Amino acid sequence: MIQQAISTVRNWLSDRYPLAEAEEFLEGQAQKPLPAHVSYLHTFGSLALFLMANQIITGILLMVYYRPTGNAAFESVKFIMTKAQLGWLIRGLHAWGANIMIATLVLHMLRTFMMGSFKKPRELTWVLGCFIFFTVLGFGFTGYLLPWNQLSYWATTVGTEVAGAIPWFGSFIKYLLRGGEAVGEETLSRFYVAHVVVLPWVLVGMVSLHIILMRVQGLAPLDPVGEGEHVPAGQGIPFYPDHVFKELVVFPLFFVFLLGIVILFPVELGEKANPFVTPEGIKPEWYFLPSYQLLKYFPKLLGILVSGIPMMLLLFWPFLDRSRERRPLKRPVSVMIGTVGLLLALFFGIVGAMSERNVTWRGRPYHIDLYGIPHNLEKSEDKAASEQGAPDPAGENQKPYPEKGEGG
Amino acid sequence: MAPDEKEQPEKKMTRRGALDLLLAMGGAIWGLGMAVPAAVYLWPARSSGPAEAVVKVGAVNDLAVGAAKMVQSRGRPIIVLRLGADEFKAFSAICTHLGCVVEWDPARTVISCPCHAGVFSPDGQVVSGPPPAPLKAYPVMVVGGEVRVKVS
Repeated sequence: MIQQAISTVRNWLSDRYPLAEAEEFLEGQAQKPLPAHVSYLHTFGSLALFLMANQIITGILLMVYYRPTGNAAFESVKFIMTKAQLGWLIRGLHAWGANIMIATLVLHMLRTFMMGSFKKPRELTWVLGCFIFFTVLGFGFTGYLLPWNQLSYWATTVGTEVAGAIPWFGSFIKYLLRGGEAVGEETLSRFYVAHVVVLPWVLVGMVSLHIILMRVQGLAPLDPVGEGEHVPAGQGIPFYPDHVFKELVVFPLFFVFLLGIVILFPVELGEKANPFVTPEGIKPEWYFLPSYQLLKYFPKLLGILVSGIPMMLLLFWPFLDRSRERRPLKRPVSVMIGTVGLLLALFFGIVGAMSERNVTWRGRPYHIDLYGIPHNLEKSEDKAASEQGAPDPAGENQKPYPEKGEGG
Repeated sequence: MAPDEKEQPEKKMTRRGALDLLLAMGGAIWGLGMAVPAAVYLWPARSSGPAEAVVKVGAVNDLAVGAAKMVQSRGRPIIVLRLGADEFKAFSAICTHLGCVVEWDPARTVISCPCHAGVFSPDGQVVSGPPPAPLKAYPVMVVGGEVRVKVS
């Protein structure tokens, strides 16, 4: 009975559309053999895609209750967190899912870099992947403002101010991003539209093209450029079921991990944005910390150039690393550069996270200043106490601030 | 095909070529015609309404010597200091470094920025830290026992 119904529908469809060809195409895609070295390390890309689906679904659900206005945004997120059924879960999956998705993309790029998969003929797949990564960072930047709390307001103020320091057209960009002189309701609308309409379509378009390029050219082998491109039928690893099985192992694992984080570390909301009080120690999300920290050491313009260099290197890397070898051990220089770059990003990220904080180490209190240099608070208190004897009318010498104009 | 194309000099315009060109130009004009209004629409509208030239801070007696008060003018914060019996100062409270809002530190008698440790003197000049320029100053008047800041 059911079989008959299915065949009736099939016949109806194949009378009108090239159903057989479509099935043949899909079958071919499913059976396509992957190079023999393809392993669990090759599941980060599809894991990112899975997490993107999570972002889209939870994002749509959040939009049901979220109100993008200066008066209502904070309260609506509070409503989601406290009143809406399972609202905390949906917001948690969205906020933490974004972080895990970015981490997954970093791992995916690291795998591609280390295995030389970006080399000829796949240079543009890499470049497109970099643009996907930058777009995802754009999601992070615009999404961070939406809860309209103090941290998000001031991180956006500083972030757009940094954009304003770009020579020639910086103030134009800043004004356009903010929708006015200062971050305000206009900025919220703009970021909301970018976050829920513009960026998603851009991302879906780019990701589709990225996947098409990957499927058309096939996964990169580990052999030198030009060799081992064609995996003969019967050799290698079939995409279905072998590789799909690996993905179906990894997806639930990560999803359970994500759920665990969401439950154990609930996303906070903080205080409502107040344009007249800047809180102490505002910091961007972790993925912006390295460039945030770099910006402190240089005057604004130079800082932008310095933190722009790693992005440019990333983007143009396939045209710089042009040796034929793909195996990491056979191209030590480029692997070394990549490793050093990653370690530098980690270093500046950690310094950025630790800066402007008081910590206790071996029973002694330290203040880590904005440059990441720790100062023993006990000593400076002694110093301050002794200085109180001698008048210091301007009060300028109490803290080891850099001299005037250093940050130009 | 290739040799034929070489033989035909590019200058010679066929009917088909002319139509293609016309279509391409039409498409470009149409695209521009859509893009320009969209870009103009996206350009932020200037805040409308009469600009208050004078912001009232409050009675002289409400602001103690050595204290500061924050007031707003068109949504932007202004910090007003009372440094002496008759000495008032007013500055834009937006740090010239990265746009955070500065605070008056009465203990150290400086204006400080919580974001990147910028420090300004009570005159608005940079004392230390990364700010590239002094705070923007506004003239202060006392009219009939009331402190007023002239913002434009």
